[in-house]
Amino acid sequence: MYRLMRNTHLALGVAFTLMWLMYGVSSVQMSHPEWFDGSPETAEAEVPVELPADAGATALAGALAGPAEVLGDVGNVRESGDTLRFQVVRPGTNHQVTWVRGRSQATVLTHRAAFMGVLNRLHHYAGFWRSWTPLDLWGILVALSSVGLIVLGVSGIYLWFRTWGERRVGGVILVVGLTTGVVLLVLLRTAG
Amino acid sequence: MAVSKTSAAAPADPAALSSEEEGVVASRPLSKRIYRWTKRLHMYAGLVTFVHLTVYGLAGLNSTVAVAPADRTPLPSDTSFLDYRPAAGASDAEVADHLHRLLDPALAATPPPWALRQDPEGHLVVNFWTVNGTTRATVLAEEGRLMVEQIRIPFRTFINAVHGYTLREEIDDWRTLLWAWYNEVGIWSLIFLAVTGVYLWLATRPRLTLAIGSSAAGLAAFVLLWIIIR
Repeated sequence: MYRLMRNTHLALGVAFTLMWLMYGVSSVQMSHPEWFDGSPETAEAEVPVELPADAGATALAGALAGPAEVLGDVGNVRESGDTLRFQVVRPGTNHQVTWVRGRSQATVLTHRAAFMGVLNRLHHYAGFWRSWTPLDLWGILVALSSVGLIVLGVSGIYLWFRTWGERRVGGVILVVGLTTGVVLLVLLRTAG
Repeated sequence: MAVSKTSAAAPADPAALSSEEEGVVASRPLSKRIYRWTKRLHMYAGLVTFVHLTVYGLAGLNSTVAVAPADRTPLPSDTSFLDYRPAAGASDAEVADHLHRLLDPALAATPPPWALRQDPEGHLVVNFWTVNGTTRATVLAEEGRLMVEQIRIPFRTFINAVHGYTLREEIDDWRTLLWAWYNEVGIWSLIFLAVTGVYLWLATRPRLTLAIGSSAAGLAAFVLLWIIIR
């Protein structure tokens, strides 16, 4: 049992090391934004399109994927007269597309975040409800790492408990951490 | 397949190494003492952050099963009305500050000016956000009334909210301040655990096939998705 738990702990830990680091470092960035330069790069481009005038946002985004690398989750679609506007978003990159129906060019305004901005956005992506397959695959990774985090915690407790010489000091640390966390959670939830 | 020869029985001492691990550690430039203390601190950091790890894991699972924002059912609100007229000439920020003192919503700080908005009818709307939900105050100036909506989020959303509550927030309550610092410990510990975990692996069992395989799989998945998504 000890070996099984130890190997499980090790295998999960090293499998998701980059995920833990991504979550940890992006959390530092969110907690201390003043430590980082978060200015995104912005660029605007006129991109040729050959589409029928009644084409939808998804079709237009597909047509822009090759020439302008407009890849991501299509959303926030708005129609105003002949003008179609929508966003194509992936972590750290936001394309705002404007197309006047019938014209042979679409305007693509792109905001591209720096490295920390990408980490920040990745931190917030989870689930399987977006329209872009790579984000669904990312969602699988997030789900696995979330389960992994809980299993790591539990297996870590087991490994500590089986380490006789650390039971006293570790026990005190565990009780302090557990009590602080649970009491704070209860205080917050019952505050009103 | 390389298999660790570590005994199935628990070691009597946390720093106790199997003969194989002993050899690996001894062959490393870093001393056994560094290994022992790294292992000990890794263990302590894991113990002190057990609640954090559980909360973070549950928050990730909660986000995993979340539906698209457009498909989410609006949360029920408890609405009440108060007689209220803002002071003549008061700015939106001053009204928000006054409403904070008047309503005294638990855990909430006065929202910053950029968070104040007006509804389509032009009424000032002040949202007092907390980890338990939102107290929304709408100033119906022409009626001399204040509409107060209490929106309480379910427990699983509460877990999401607390997992992301950091020192960056507008904090005006000792409980949220303590939680933000508690979370800060969790954030740094997570980084520490990740880095020291890799060190502990490489310092003792670098040739363990299971670890090499899972590390390679995790690395490949992350890097591949990073390249595609970026």
